[in-house]
Amino acid sequence: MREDAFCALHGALSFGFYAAVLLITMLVMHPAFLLVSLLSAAAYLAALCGGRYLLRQLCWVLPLMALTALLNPLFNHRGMTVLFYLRNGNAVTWEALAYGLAAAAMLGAVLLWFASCNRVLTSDKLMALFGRALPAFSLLFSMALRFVPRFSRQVRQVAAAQRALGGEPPRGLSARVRSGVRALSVTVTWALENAVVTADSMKSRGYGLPGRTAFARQRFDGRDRRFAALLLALALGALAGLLTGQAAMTYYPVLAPAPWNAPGALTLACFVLFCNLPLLLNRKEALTWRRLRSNI
Amino acid sequence: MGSLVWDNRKYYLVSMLVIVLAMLPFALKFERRRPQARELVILAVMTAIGVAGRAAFAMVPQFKPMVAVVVITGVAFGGEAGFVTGAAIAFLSNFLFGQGPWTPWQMFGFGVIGFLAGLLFAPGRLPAKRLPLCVFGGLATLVIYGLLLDAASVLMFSGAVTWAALLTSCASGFVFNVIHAAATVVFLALAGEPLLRKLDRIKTKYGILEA
Repeated sequence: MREDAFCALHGALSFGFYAAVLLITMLVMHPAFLLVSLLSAAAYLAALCGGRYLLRQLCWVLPLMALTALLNPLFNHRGMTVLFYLRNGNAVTWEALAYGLAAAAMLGAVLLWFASCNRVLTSDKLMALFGRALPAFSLLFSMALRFVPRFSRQVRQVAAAQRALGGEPPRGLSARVRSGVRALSVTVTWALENAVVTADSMKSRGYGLPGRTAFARQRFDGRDRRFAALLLALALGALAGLLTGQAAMTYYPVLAPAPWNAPGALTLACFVLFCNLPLLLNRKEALTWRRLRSNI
Repeated sequence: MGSLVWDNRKYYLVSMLVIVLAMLPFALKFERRRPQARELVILAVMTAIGVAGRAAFAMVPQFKPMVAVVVITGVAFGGEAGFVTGAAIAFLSNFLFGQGPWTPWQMFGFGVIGFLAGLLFAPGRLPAKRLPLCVFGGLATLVIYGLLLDAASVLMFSGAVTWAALLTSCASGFVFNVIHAAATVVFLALAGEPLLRKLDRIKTKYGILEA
């Protein structure tokens, strides 16, 4: 995967974008909004990680969505339009099926947004973001992330040392398991002792003093400020429409979407633009780059 | 506005908010205390062991040593440390296995198990021996973690929350929960007492984190 223009933004913006898009997606039940969210999530994931990656994700997302869509009408028998009756006499209704489809679209959208979020919001960006608000937790997280590869290297080293001491490589399953467990046990003891040394060293170098810095330097520059303004304006536009009922949708007893009018269209337009902000930003960067090159 | 947000069956959003709010007091208490570097590093080691353990057994579905690590941490260092380690293991291992709407549920599930382990095995209560550890670990995995995550999947995957849907989810998740519980019991039986001895040794040698 390559870093695109959206990844290069300040971490707070990526976090704000994903928080808002997930919140709105979980709030609306209107099919048009859910479809917009689902398609935008898929489009951005494909742009970020390639179409093949999107297909691999769909391999497990689509079955889950189908399950969701089918489960609701089986458990929920509200609604006026009966499609057919189950053997136990319960009705399968069109309204319950439609609700299931909407819930499936919501689930798919959330899962696909998370899939691209995993690539954009890397762990070090999150740590830098929350380093001030939750210093103990972010230190704990960054140390634990660092320890994982370190421990696995140590296990291999211990195993090599044990082999050198024992002369012969372990034969048979039980001997091999026993030597593996011994290497693990040695590593755990080493890790705990080493942790105390690390902690003492941290303390003597001023851990816990104010004015901590993060590993990755992130500046909130003019580009970030402009993007933040756009992000905020569109998110607030969509949320305002949502909370005033422009995207209301009733499923039971009959399907009743909010009447289609100008405020509703405006809300939808805000949401479409908002969901596609990462793609639009990439497009704009590509155009700028082309213009710069053709000016040479 | 209230009716739009709350009436329209926003089970998932509301339940996720409840879960996050339930974790907040633990997190704030831990932060406010301004934990010492020694304590943080030890918890980071336990977290890393849990994350590496999940990665090491990733090819066997549901055979995860994480609950065992969380229980041991809770027993050795108290409920708060258990909660923090559990939540951290769930959060960090999902950087390897994919974050998703399930992350807060897993964090809360592991955290609560660690917290309970710390409460139940506090000095003067249950002895930290092999049998009670295994029984607690198995039951906690099966009942607390299993039911919590089954309920979460109902909230996530089926738009409607009914008892029938909940029962179906629990029934279909039962096999996975049993494997998970069995894995926890196996890991606790094999590694519980040795690991606790190591932790006790560190505690007495350096005088840290006396629970």
